[in-house]
Amino acid sequence: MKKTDFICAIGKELNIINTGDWKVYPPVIDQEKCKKCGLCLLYCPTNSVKHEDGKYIIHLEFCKGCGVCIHECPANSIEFKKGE
Amino acid sequence: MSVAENIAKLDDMVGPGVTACLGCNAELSMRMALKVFGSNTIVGIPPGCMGGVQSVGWADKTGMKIPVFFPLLDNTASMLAGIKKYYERVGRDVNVVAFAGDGATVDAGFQALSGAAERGDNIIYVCYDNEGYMNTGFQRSSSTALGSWTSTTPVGSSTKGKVSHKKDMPMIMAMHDIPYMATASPAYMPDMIKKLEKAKNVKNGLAYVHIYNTCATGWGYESERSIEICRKGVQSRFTPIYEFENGKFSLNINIKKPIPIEDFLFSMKKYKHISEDQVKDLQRYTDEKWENLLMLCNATDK
Repeated sequence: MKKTDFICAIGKELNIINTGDWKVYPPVIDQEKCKKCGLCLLYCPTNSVKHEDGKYIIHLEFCKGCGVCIHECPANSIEFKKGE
Repeated sequence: MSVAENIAKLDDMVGPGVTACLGCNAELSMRMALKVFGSNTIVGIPPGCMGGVQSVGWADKTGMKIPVFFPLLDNTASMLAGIKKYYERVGRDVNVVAFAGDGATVDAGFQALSGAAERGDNIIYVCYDNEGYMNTGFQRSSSTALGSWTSTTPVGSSTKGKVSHKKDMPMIMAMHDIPYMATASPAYMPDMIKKLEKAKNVKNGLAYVHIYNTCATGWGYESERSIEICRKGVQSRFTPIYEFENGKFSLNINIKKPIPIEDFLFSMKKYKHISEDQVKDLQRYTDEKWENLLMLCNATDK
């Protein structure tokens, strides 16, 4: 698709801010406790939770560490990994 | 297959790092909406929180993987109507989407939106309502609820927050007789996704989706409770979830036993100061709106 197909401009490159630096502690899913309901994926504001090979995994590159996934997890399977 | 697994397969149209606050519901709503609308979309984001988080980009760079447009605060709907007309003329079917805050919808952009609804322009207008101009320092908008603290309705010896009720924007849009109008909440995500899909398939006029968002920074609560506060708003009947489709109202989430409105109000700093009279007033307002809604649902359900 050519750029001239759009009447509004599309940018040359993505403007990416490294929001992964904002977090204090990284959230980690305990796969044994996880019930695979997928609420963390639906509620993550930064789209950091991915579904891979039947598991939900938090990718930490852009995770801001807001803690919504920890608060909403019905099985309490997500925790901040402290002490590293 | 669960809703989450279906959503996981869709591509995210927003760039990975945008500078919204921690636990921002509006960012979640924007990502989810654009995931549902897909890559064949042109989005217009007026000034506001989501314009300010670099989703529209600076200089040569952009924050989106799709064409994004930065209209003024008060002409979003008319600009997008023009873009849609161009694509109709060249014979290409694109989703033209506005993702506007409550300031650009309920206050400044209202006239343009009302005009577009009346003309029947085929655009999708998504409003994320966080009850104020949050990115410029929490000023009040006409969507701010009674008794709210904002920087322009301060709490002091003579005034106790905002003195008037919020404008009932979803109902106003329904009364324009547009083909599709819905309210949604991020706490009820499967319902919200269904509504966004319905809005995407409207081809005979304007589709309006009103998303009740919260704002961790402006409302004063811990970032992890974003979804909880949203859910409390729905469960106390303060933010009713309903839709208006082809002249029929239907209640999507029927709260049979509402929680007391105090549970919702006193879970954040924004309402910390409010008096008993104000709580009663808000409860009466909420009950009246709910009764009206039930009546409309029953009257059009034939």
